[in-house]
Amino acid sequence: MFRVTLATTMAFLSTYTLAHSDQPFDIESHSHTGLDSVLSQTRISAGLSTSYRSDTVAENSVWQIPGVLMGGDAHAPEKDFTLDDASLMLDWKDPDGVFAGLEFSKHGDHDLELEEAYAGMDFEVTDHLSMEITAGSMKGAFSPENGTHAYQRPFSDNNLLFDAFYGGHYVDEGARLAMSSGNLTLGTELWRGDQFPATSGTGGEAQDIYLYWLGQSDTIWWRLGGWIFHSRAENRKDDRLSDDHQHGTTTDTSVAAGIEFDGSQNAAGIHVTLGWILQDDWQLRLSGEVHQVKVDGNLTDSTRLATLEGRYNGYWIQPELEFQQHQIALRYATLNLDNHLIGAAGKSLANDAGLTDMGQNPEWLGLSYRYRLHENLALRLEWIENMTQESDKNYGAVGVTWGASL
Amino acid sequence: MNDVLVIAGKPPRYDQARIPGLFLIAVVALLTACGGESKTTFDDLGVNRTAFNWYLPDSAPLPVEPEINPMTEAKFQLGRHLFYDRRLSGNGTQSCADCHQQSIGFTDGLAVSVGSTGELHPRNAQPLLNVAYNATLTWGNPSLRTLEQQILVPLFGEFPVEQGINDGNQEQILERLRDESRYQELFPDAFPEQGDPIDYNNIVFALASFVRGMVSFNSDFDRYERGDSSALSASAKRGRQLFFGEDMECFHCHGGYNFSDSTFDRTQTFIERPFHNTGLFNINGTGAFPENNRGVFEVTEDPSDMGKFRAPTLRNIALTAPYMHDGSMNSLEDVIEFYAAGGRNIESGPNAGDGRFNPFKDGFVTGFEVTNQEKADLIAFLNSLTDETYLANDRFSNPWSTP
Repeated sequence: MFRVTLATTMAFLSTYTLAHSDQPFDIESHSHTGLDSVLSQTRISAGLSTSYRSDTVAENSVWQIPGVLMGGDAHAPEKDFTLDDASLMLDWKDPDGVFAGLEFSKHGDHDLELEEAYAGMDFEVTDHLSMEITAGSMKGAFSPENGTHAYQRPFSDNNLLFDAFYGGHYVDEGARLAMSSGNLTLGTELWRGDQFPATSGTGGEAQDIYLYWLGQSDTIWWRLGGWIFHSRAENRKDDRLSDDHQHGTTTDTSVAAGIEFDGSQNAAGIHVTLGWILQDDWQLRLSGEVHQVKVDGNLTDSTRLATLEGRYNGYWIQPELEFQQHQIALRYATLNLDNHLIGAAGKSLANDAGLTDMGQNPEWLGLSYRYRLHENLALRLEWIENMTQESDKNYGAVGVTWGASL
Repeated sequence: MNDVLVIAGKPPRYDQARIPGLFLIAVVALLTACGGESKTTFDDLGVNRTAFNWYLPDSAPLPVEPEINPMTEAKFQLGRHLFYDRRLSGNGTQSCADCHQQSIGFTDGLAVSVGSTGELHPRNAQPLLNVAYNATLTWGNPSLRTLEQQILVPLFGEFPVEQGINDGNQEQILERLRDESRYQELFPDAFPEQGDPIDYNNIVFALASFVRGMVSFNSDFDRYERGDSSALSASAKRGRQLFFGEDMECFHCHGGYNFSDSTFDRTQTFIERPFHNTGLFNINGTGAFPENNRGVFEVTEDPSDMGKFRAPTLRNIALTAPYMHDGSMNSLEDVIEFYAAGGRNIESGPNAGDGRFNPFKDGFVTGFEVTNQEKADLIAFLNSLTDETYLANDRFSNPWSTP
């Protein structure tokens, strides 16, 4: 019984440290053949989150946290009803350990896209060591937080640290090799490096390595681990600025759109999730991460050049309390962004690229309450204090989340 | 909805349960190490050192000072005197300020300028402000890249004659200057280590220092960009949106802080020196421009350079009519209509031809639809580029008018 409770508890955490294919399947030996067999080995799941927010963070412009080069899918919350995200996932696995998965997703205003399409296999190397090889388009497994959807987590806003350092989330084409022994998982991912913070083309590359330990003792369980992520970008522009931009002088997104970064980003992080099963259906979870990021390279535009040395760190911490249908969570995230620019154009490029500090650390504080209306459907109320721009934004959000295996 | 994870393997021993707690302590220690406020620091490698007070706002980059002629206040003041001195012309009738008058943005209000001997210059006098930021210095000569080079042209040029200094009169002109008591102090102050500093090299260096120091960043537009949202009228704000929008394309050639794509300052490593054919002419459909006014082609003789001219700054543009390199347009409204048409069609006469189809025309001059209200808004925006304080700044005024 305890194990069931524990598994249920952990079910509320996104577990993308292990890919979809790691999810347990009921693959009892039925005598299906052909299509029936395939269907019996396929799981379809879906989810969506939609919210109404009372304010917009980045009015009339692309979101730029002062002090860090941004890109990818990082986007600021907007006032209005928005589809935070929706996804449809298909996972197939046969008894021999071969598996494949597809995930169609829609984030905000983006078009529906095939976010994941992968295949792989797992197998036992020894009695104590199993191995899994996956290749295709995947979310990075280096952090559980990288793969979360808005309908899975307490907050509709994306994680501030992943918006700042990984373009919202890191999804790319690549290959993953993960080895598990007991409760330890060691994995490495080799990416094409087509996505922020890397760049497509011959000059971009990305790799990571991660190690996680899942454990439990009496009423406590935990996931501890960390990762190292390296990427290289060549002539990287913030492609968020390429559409519908405004031209001006000092407030010129077209100038920012013309600035290129050529260099490396080396990052490391530690992830902690601790869970406690308390009395009378009370459950407490504490999760968080610490990130350190080192950026070295050149900033250029058509006429200017400066060397950028960025030394960033940040953390997020999230206590959650759950009682029956009620879940309440608090999240605090902050960044410390130190930049040093060398060269005559350092100041002007920093200004144009949004690297000039705002005199304080960017911070994000949120409080979330979720009420589970049904097994798969929840109402969510949020209050956010977004301190990532020079003027703070406080806003509330109300929304629903839905997620189910179909 | 949620991923279900089953922990495999044997349950950990009791002492393993301490590890998460220790790990948490380590994480907390890491968090506390993340102290301090974010900051962005700079090392400009000494590039922004200067002995001259440029009177620039923080938002403006410093212009480049040539190593052979670093800026000093003494050279600036000497140059100011020379700029307004008619004795610095062959016949003593014309100063630089006669074609560059402060009250009208240091232009002369004429279609084309008139030299000291009455000869017409083929081109319109360009306004003198922020010249220090120009990557090239005349309408159509890519090789004139410093003021020290360019100033030789109006002083000694013969085609056309401007100041009219030549071999026959240059010593006489120096004598005029030596007789002036102010110069007997100004020249030694500007060039203290020279025994006899009144010579043409120093005259050129001093004039270059004065013109280089004529900077302007105090228009309504500048104040708006520095955060004063009331500095622009509603019409000017709409015009600003049009100007920097992709429909009219104005900013591509007249963008940046100096409203010209041919801009250079100390922050720049790579220099662009573009010139543009805007479709003013297309004589007989050959792409040709009138003789003696063919832009970069006159220097390079490259057919693709036919009719290419430098995009001038639009600062103080409301004061500097008539417009274009030949002064052939009298008003800003004419200019907007010209660009809206995508060029100029001259139906008769020796220059007949449809400039809209000039084969060498710039790709950004494609024409656009514009309403009367939009024209008014654009003109309101262009008017906001006038720096009234520059027109009344004593630093740039005629020093001979005061004893």
